[in-house]
Amino acid sequence: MTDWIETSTGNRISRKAEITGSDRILIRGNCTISEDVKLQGDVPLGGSSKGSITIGKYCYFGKGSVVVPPRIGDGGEETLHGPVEIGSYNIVGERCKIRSASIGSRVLIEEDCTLGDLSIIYDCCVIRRGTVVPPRMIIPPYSDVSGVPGENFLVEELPNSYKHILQTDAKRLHVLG
Amino acid sequence: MNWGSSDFKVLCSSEENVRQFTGETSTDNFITKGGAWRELAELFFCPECHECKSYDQCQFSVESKFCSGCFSVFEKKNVTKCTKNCVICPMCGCTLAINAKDDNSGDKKGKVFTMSCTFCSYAYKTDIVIKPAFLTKIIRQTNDDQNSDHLQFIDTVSRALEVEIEAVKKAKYGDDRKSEVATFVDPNTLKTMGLSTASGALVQENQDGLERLLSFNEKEDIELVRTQMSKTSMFDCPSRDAVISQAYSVFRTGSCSGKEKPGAIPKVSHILPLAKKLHTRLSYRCDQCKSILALPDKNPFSTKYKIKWNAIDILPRLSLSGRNHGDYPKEITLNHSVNVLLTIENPLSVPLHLTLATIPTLDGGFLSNHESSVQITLPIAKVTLGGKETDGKDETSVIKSIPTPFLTEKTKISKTELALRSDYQTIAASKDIDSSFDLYDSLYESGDNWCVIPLNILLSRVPEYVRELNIMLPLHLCVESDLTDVHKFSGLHDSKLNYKYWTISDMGTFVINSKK
Repeated sequence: MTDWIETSTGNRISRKAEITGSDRILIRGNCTISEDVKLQGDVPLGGSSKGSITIGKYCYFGKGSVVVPPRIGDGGEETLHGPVEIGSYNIVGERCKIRSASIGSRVLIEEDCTLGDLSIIYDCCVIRRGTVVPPRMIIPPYSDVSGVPGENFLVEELPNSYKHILQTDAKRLHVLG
Repeated sequence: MNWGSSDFKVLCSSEENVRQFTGETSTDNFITKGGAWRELAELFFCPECHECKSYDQCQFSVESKFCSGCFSVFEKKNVTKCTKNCVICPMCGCTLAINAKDDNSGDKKGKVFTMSCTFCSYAYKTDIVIKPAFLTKIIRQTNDDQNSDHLQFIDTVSRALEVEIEAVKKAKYGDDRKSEVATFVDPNTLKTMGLSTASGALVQENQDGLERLLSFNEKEDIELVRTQMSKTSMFDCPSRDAVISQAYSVFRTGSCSGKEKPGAIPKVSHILPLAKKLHTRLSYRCDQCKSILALPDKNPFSTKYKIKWNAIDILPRLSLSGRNHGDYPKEITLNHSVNVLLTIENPLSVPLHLTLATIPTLDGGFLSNHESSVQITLPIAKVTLGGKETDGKDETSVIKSIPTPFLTEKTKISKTELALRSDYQTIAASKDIDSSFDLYDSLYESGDNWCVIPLNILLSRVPEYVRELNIMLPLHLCVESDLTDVHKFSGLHDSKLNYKYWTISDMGTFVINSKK
């Protein structure tokens, strides 16, 4: 239990997680940041946004997942990034790489997924194991996404029951660890 | 982790299946062949039929069509692709990044659009665009220009064939309307139909003899088309597959901007981008009683449903486990039993009355070996589960709603709750779980809206050569519950929900222990 930091808002953060630029990261509460998770908030931001990573409530980040604000262009010598907004009741599996601009609420990202720069994932989506979401791709609500572009990339309809399932699972995962 | 999937699948049988198996003495046959097994998450619950309905048992209609790229909603029935600016890579289906530049170099002054794939190295450049138009329209026009010869030829052949077929029909059915047939091959008519010199040979053939048209000769016609094809240059183009494979080889070698050799396969950029396919929001009706089971909000980016009858919100959720969030043992010995915990959760806010039953002796279709036999013992047949509190806003209410077998020792709150459930601890401390089952002989444990029932699986017969055995566990549930407030407002005629169904769980493969 000593491996975890528990905040007053109910967040559980592993001491082995690597969080940089914490003054630019906002976590609403009841989130779990597992070990070896990397939240890279110290990137140069383009535009007027102050926060680089915003995370809603009851989000779970599995071991080794990485969240980096998406690249939006070159600002001369350094690469500029835009903010990333992650909604509530999301589950991010182990070893995922997230560079999206926005992830809605009640989204399940299974293990070993890669979400490309500036991709947008709307609410109630399931990204299946090993999926590569290409840069700038927009995934509409109730989508079941799987595969790798150019090989077997597929966006199918997700039953609306998943809205309830994902919310319950995200809450349970937080209290069960 | 198997997110969103349940241990048990539900049997969805159609009217035809039920009729077919009525009077059938073997329940096993009905369970194994009487319908399709579906995940609970994929089912609707029809409030009029009081049955679970899979997608196959529903009628659907399109409520709205929208493009996920530009947020536009399309009302027209025949539109399936975005007609605005959303284009995708023809090679990998990814979004194209679009750049516009002014081009004043030539006689024409306008804009040139460059589209490059965000995933692969595909790129496409439009001609100079003078008038503002949607990108899909610009690409469609380019496509028409590029394929004008091809399209014209196809058009010509198809029209000529129509004429020929019509003439053959008339000849076959003895309708002597030669003057009418003649109008089909009248040179002026053909001219107005757009037949030009490209199909000169065919037109000539038509003009040469009406009698020839009337006597249908397949071999001759094939030969004619072959001759025509050999004269037309557009068939010199490589197939799309060849172009794509060539394009991938170009990607692998690093560049797609090499100089095009005369007669070589066209550059990647000659393949036109594709318009993005539209997404749909569908509403579902029961195929039998036509009740609406799901009606989404028309706003494509809303996740709200005006009406939804999801089975997962009504049917009890069943799962199998061992103790302490663990899996049950996967070893079984002849004439020895394996203890499994069956957890049932009530998703409704009102109490749920359950009657459970199973097939006491499993063989045949439920086991991977037909000569084996397994006995199942359910110590309790009737259970009443309390209503679920409204979705817990704090951690305490969330943890209270979690059945004990799922609790872990990974978090403080879960560990504390596990300790608090002292009855469970007493049982867990017992080394021989069999004796604990005997003590209770009914419910293993129960909470606000859940209960845990011990289930005994005994291997009673197995041939010596069998080393592994897959077991499917069927359960029959008879459920009765009041209507929730939400259901009352939806205008149901019945005051209660009564339904029964078969559910099955694939318990996986058990290793047969040779110890006797």
